[in-house]
Amino acid sequence: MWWTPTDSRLHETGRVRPIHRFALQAAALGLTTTILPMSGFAATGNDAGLEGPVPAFARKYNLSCNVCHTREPRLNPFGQRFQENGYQLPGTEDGGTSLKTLLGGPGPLDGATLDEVTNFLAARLRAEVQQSFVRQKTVSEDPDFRSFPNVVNVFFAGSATRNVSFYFETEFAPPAESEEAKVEFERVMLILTNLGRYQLANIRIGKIDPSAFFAFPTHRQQMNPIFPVAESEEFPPEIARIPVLPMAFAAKMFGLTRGSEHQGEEGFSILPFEPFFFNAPATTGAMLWGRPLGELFLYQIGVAQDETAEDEPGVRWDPYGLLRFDFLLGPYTALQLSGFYYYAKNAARPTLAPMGNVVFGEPVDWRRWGVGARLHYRFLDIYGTVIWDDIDDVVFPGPPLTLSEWDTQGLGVSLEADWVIHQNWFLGVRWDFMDPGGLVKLPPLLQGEDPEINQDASLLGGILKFYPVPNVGLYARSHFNLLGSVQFPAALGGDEHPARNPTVISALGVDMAF
Amino acid sequence: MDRQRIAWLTLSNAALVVLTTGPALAQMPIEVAAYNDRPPVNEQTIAEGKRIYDLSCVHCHGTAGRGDGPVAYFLNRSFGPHPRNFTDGVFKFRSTYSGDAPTDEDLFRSVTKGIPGFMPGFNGLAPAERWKVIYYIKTFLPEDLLEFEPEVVEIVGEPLPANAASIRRGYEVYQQLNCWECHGPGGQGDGPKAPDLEDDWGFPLPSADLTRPSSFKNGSRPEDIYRTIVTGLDGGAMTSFVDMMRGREEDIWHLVNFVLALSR
Repeated sequence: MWWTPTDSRLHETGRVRPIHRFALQAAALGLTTTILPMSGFAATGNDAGLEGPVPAFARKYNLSCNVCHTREPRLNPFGQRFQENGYQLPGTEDGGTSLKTLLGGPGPLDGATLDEVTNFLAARLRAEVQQSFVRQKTVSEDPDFRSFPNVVNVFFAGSATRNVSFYFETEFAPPAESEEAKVEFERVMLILTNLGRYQLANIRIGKIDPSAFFAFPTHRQQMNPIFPVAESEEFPPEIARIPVLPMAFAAKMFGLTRGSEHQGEEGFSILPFEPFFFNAPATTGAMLWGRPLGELFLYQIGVAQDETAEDEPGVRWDPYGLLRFDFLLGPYTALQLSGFYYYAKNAARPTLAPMGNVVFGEPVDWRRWGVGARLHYRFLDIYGTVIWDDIDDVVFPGPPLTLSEWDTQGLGVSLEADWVIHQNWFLGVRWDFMDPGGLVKLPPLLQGEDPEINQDASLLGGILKFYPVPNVGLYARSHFNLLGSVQFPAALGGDEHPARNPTVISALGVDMAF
Repeated sequence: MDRQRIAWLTLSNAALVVLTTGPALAQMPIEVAAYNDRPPVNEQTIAEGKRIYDLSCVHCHGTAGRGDGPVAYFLNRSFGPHPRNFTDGVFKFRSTYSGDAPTDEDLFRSVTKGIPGFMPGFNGLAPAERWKVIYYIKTFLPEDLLEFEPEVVEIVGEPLPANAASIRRGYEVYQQLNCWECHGPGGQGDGPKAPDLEDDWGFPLPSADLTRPSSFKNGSRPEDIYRTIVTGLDGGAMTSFVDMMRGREEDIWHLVNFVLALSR
């Protein structure tokens, strides 16, 4: 059955009785919102004027968060330049050495420096209690509370020496929904900056986020991703709840898989709602960027490594490029315009499963391009992106599957406006829209007159954050489905379409950095 | 302040002066005279200063030096200090008389040290680069401010030993000058006038918490505190006490000892 996991599957994968679970979570949330911030104060010992304790770079430079962030985690133009320059202050190339202990002396340590641990070690903790309201309960009668905390990130980042920097981000996600607890390196990269001359060329190598310099980067969302409840090991995938993240980043294609070699693995079925390619949270690869003509213009080129979706998969290197223009328009006003292109050869296979037998079409090339813009004006930070996806024409070995109907193009739009209402208050609003491509209709014999499979999706979300101290945000958020009810074709079970099933997804949470 | 408190402050002060003075000085390379490679002021160095300004300063101070860069409003939503508007010609961190322009060395000190909490110290720029950016910043200043060579307020004498008698005398001066009205009886920035303080641009401005020297925007060495007392912080609520304390320079040093003792 399409997109509809059974209750038993979710119970098998770690759910506990809701009241017991909620009590534990409530207690843990209380603990987090009181003791951990206090421990943050104690641990940092920061004394940065009017602001409170803040993570590593702010500790190092004795600055408030807002020197680099509109509100954490979004970067303001100064923070962007700090990031671009390999965690060195804009205009400098000293490796941040001026604030480190000089080991000095003759011999191999001459000129070497040692930073304090708190100047390159930071952590972020996010926890949410979520509740989804749905048109049709296809998964469980239980309230959808998450385990606690949702995500803990530990960062090691900084400049090792002049123009050489590093970034490690580990992520711990405790057992939640259908997943096992896991710790993994989310991103790991070596950063070389100012090759040739200042900002001429910079390199990142490792597990990197390609969209770091895009006007609407995948990371640094004010509204943290709400993870999907889905199974992607088999085809068709089962999506009990779509994720909540900027839909422009998503794959936007129904009916694709990563190829027969990956059958049974997580990610075999490409979920139309997962962030993908240029907008993936991390890809293994390298990128080169710089500002050879000054502050107005940034270029970025890169490659991301993955496997082809052929019968005998090979390594593929997806090239991508980005251009960004930065304008200082006037008092308190800055504008960024950026565009990118990403190409993946033989990246996916159209797939159908008539009578439960998985049948693959020919591998398709996948192209993605998008434009983004960001405007700062006084207390407002407005940004948005439109991203298009395009795949080759779909070819199946023979009838009747050739009679299935496919759309080779998908479109996603995400717009967000953030307003710093007050030093302690923040309001954000985001609109997401997706016009997906991929599988439109099964062969007529199976589909009949039933609605199309690749239905549009659209959510309007809002978040209100309160910062009792600058590094702790308590928030309430809700995302409303703007589109009406649509059923899947009867041949696919006839349940509510996963993009239309949630009416409201709400959460209360805490986001802390220390 | 009772005797016990003063005795404790004296003891802790004596011990901590030894522990903290060295590192504190090491972190604040603001002995400007040490930087001898000062380039000449000419079109080329000013143009080079503009290039550096556009890389390092423009995001807060704006293209025209008006303190209106795109980051400025996000820095402090509800209270000052906001990035300096150079075209106003009002400068907090000076060694000169209130209302005068700062010296180049004052600007060099601010660029080098930054402002705790609000502006990073750009000692990653080479000294020559810092001088050049200062030459460019000075092009924003009002012409009438540059007509006269600013006169430096002399720092008379040297820091006094921070003994009980000195701290007690400093406490008396603190009371006489009504410092407590803004900074509070215990120096925690909670005086009765503190909630109503504003800067010249109408932004609420909290009074400095004197128990946290690392947050002192004009520096926390004894000489820095002395300088702050006599020059004031133009544009802010801290007035200059140079006239009131003329001939009482020793009392200023006692007051400095008291201020430093508040954090120990």
